[in-house]
Amino acid sequence: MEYKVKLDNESEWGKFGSWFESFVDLGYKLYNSRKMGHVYKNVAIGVPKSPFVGLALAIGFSRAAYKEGTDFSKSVAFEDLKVGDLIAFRGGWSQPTKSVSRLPISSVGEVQAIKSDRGAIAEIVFKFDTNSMLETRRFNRAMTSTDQTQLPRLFSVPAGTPQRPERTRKSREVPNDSPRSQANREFFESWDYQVCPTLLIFGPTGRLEDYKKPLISDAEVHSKLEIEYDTLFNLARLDRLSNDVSPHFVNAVEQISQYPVDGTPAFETLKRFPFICLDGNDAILALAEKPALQGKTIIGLWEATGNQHQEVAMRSFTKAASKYSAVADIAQALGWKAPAGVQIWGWK
Amino acid sequence: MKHFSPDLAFKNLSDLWDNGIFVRTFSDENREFAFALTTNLLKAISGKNLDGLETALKYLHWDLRGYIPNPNNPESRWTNRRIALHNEIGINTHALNAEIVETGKSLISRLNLLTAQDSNYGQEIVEIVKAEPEVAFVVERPWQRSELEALLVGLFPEPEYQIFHLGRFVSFPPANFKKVVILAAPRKLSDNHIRAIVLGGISGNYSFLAPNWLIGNEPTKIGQQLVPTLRTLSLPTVHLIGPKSDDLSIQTEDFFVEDLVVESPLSIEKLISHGDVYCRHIHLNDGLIIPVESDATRISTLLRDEESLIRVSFKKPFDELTVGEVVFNLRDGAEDTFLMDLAAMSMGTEFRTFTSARLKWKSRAKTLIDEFGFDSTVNSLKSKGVSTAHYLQDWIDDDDFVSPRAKSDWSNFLKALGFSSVEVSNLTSLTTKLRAQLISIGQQARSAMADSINSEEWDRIQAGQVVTKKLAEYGDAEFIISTVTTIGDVILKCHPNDLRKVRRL
Repeated sequence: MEYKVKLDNESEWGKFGSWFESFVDLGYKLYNSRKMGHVYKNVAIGVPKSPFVGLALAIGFSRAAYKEGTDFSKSVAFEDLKVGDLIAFRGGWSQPTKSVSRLPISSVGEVQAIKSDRGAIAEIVFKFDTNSMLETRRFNRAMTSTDQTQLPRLFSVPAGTPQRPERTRKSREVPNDSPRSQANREFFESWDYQVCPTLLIFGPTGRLEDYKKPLISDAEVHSKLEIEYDTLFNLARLDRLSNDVSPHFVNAVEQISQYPVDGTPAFETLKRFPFICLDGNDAILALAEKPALQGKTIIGLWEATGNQHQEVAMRSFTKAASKYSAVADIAQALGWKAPAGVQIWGWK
Repeated sequence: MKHFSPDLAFKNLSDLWDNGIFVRTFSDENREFAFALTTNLLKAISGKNLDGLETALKYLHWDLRGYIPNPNNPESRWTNRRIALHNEIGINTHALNAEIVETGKSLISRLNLLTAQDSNYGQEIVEIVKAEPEVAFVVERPWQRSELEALLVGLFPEPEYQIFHLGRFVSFPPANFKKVVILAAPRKLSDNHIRAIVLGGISGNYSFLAPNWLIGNEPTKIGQQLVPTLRTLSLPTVHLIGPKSDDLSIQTEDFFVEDLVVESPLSIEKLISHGDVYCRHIHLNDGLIIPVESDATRISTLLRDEESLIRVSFKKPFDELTVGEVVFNLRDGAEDTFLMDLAAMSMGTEFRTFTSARLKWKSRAKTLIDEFGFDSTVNSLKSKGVSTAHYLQDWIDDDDFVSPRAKSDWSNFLKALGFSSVEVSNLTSLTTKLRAQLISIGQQARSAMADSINSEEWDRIQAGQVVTKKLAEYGDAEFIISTVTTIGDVILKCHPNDLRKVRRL
């Protein structure tokens, strides 16, 4: 991974230690391993400190999910639309200023009504499980173009995809010093609108803020996106479980106290994630034995420092893992080289 | 790029795996034999209900393991221990068999030898500071801090070394220590402590210093359970530097006397009924209160924000705070030591200057009290503008005391004790800086506390229960969280030690 990172306004561009790329690599390998049918049910990783480890894993998962190419959003024609469908509405690219492009507006909701009795103009009324708002989208069925990125489009998305009205959000703007090609816009959409729920991290709130500040320039991704850099949060394609903002549905991070209650929309969203990361001993202790996490790959980031929770957190994690078989050497099985001093155990 | 905490932790871990851990030993025959005899006696009297004798032997056990002799008065500790032991054996002779009595007499003889000569440990420590002035010492027991300080303060007038207590050190964030020397035998450390040292990334350069008879017969093996229920996959190499003990019988003996250390009681302290700081009480559930200065401008509350995150928010306690809101505070001041340690780490040598000056003003204040008596000293200080001088004994007794609350009291106090105006200026700016550090660390701890609350705990708080949260990474700082039941209208007078603490009425 060729990258450089800038922690804050005062710091220079530089690199993390090799541990960072190592954990990006681990995320990548865990994703692919599951895709290949090697499903590890529990993975415990002993780290000195967990901040940014979950983030590095999320970047690895994000890259793997993109490269593997799964996208659960399926283009759907207006004529095939039915009331009750869960649909992602995506607009076309716009250019609010000469030097800026705005990515397509996006909303995800359940179709409540379809009105198509006024010529080519149709209206779709969306409702959302997160609030009582209704949103009406006009849809010109007569519009055609060889460049799909210029058109409003409809996509069927799976249950559990976070529902979000567009009007509460402003779509992302990117620099546009030279006109963006159709290929670039398509790449951008395939990255920023992918629906492939992968990793959900539960950890302290501080993480949410910490991950939004540092900037990263990832040569491979950002050269294709034609942007110089982005936040670590965006490179990891993270979102909040309880407050989804970005159009993609790939990775998420949530406060321990926000573990969703059964029956809520966030609980339905949680069900979609195959990988759960419990970031730190508090998260392990609070959530390792939650029944709703059974069947998923639970990654526990166990911290060795501090006087409390180490023993009880690890015991809780190994208790949850004990129904599976311990893997003799998961690092070797994955072909992963752990950073010096980092310990990893797996169960299948 | 500057190192940030996780980067430094992994770097330290990598350095540790490259360098290994060093166990430096020295021989110390007098303590070795005394320790063997103490251990034998403790085993022999076990279960005989000889509490006084057992306590005397337990103190001796710890002293032989780690007492750092005071250069000004090297023989007094062993003299006191010998007298205590002699008395206890005398009192309990009827319950002891002849063999135990003989062993006791042998031990007393050994303590006599220690009274005459016990410099090995101290010399080893001094050599370490000479080789690396910026060494960070980690002591096994809290009381060793002052012993070590007393040994070194006269020898190194501009100290660059630091001293931390092991229990606190293992909760430190990763740091750039040049060299960390732990004054203990590795095998004597608890699982949690050795785990943090080996796997925690706090430092990448560790040495242990211990007498050779304490390190066991496998000194290069880390025998503790580093990962509960699981096998550790790789460990750094442990290098032994120094002599091994010839007497393996001592090495294999291990008599744990951990119960000597009494932890602070968990009960919440009662409010001190007197004081002279104007305050009002904020009442919580279960009859608890937080005394707050009547002119206070903010208090920490917890709330769920618009994104449903639990966050710390500051409010004016007597204008904005309302009944039903969630407030929290530290259970007591015991955690201050840890905040002070963290501040020491970030301030480096400036903190050393502060502690040296503190030793100096405490010593001058004690001399005044010895010479003129407490009341006269206080009156004299008050006449020189130190309005809160009646708390002088608290200031002297509190190991972590920073300065009186009012800046004028602080500068007048230093002037009254004979500090020059330059020294007063330097010290007051140093204490301002230290206070800023402490506030900053305290705020981080509060944020971390908000992070660690789970939804069940939040629901319990909302339902009127008092919830406590312990923060491992902040020295086990324990917060008490509750909704506000009443905000007192009456202005009272509180003792400074009660302010901003949770107390029981």
